Amino acid sequence: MVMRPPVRRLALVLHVAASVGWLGAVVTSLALGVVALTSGDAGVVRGVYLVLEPAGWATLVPFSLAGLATGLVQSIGTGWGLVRHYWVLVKLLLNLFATAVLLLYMQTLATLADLARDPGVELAELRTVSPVVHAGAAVALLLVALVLSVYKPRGVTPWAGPTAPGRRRHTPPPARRGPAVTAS
Amino acid sequence: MVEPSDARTPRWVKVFAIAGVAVVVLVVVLLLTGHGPGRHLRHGGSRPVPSAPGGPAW
Repeated sequence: MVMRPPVRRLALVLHVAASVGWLGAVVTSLALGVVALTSGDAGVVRGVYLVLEPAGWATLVPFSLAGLATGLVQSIGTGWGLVRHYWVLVKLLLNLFATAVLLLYMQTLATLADLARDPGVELAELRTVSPVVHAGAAVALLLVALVLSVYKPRGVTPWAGPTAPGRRRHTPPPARRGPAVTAS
Repeated sequence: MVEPSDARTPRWVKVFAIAGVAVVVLVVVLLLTGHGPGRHLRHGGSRPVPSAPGGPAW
């Protein structure tokens, strides 16, 4: 089902908003992770690890799921399709992978929050590069998805069908006079 | 009739596929070697119980 232009534009706005929100939330998490690694203030370090988990549930998870849902609507509701073009398919796989890793990583953020809450845990034990590594990788992944969205590199999948947009077709040669020649 | 160049998988897709397989293998290896969620912190093991109850409730 192809959406009408006003609906399509609204769906695109929602998809861009969700994706931009996700990227912004990940960059914020990256910045907080760097602060926790570099700050000499124990209160700041514990505060960062305490806030990463609720901030993740409040921003990262909703934006990732919204980006996935609006992306599905965009691809199914337009002529691009979900699996017809490689760039759409790759974006879908990137989104699914990132969302799955994020949902798993929320357990790590919960563990970090518990440790930060525990006054018996020393600051040196608490500091970890893990949030920086994960958020940095997520930023890289989302930037790749952004580049794919803007450049839309060529290439249709075997499931595209003969009428997929972007698929080039040969113009049949003009018919010759005389008896038809059939290939056998 | 579809042009032969369209039927082939583009090079950028092959590069992405190789990188994707490498990342998935890396993730599986990390999970199998105990670097899964909540286990790659220095403390190891599963979610610890705070030693001092009464911390801030979220």
